[in-house]
Amino acid sequence: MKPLQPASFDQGPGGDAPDGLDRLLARFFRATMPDPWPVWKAPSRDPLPVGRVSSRRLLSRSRTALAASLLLLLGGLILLGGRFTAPTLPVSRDAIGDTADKPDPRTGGPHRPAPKPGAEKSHTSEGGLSSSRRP
Amino acid sequence: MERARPTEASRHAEFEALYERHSREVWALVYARWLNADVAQDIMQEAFLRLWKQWETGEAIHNPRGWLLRVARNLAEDHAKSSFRRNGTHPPQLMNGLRGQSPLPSERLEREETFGQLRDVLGQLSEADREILTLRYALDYNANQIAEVLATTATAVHMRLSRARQRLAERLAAQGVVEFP
Repeated sequence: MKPLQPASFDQGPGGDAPDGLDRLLARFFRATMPDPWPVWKAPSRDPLPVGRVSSRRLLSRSRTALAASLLLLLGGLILLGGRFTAPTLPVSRDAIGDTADKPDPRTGGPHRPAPKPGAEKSHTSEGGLSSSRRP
Repeated sequence: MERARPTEASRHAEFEALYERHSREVWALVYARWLNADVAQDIMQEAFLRLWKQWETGEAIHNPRGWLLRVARNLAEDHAKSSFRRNGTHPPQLMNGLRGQSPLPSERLEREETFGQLRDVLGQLSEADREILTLRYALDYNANQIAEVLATTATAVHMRLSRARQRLAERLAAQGVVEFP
């Protein structure tokens, strides 16, 4: 145990009389440095065969997954395409909304569609035509 | 470095000799930057790995020591930007890298406390001060050897080391460290 004193360079580890600070620093760094000192090992050039196998496996797996997903996509397209094609069978009149012969639920009489303004004009023109038929 | 078609074994031996000569210097400079023995070791090994890769390509490096020190300094700077550093994961401050010859628990505790305080104070010094102190006390280098590593003169080393020690002593005294276990 020695009181701390500022010392010169010459009193360091290589000098004559190292003081307390020199000893403390030397001990601190000695304790801090790796012991034993790590040995250099040159990295091997070739990757491990295990790595090669696993990378090959990975590649084949990803290819299989890609093929499966493509098949699924194609299958889905075919199924959906078959469902939404245009109908070829004849459609019943109900399906196209033709209710001309059905009784009107409000009047009890036969259902008449509401006359359109254009349709009335055509009647008038028909009248005109009929009047034109007059001699 | 001029190499005339060396064999694989001789190349390995040559590189190992290079590692033996300079790895401690590289470690010391990185340690002076971060005050972390593990980081210093990782960066030292990375620097040598990079040199090895250059070595394998056959590219001539005329001053491998200078090359290594420069790469290690750059790697140490890059370490500041890495996520590891940002996350602030540090080993326990007092226990990091301490290896002794099994002293008594009380002595060990006292020593670790003093080392922890010393580490704190070293952290308050400038990097230049830490470099010179690390080269001096970790590697036991003399003024000429330090001057060679730091690319300066022995006279400058004498002056800088003396001032660094003075600053260290003052700060330790300010923290109440006046005696050493």
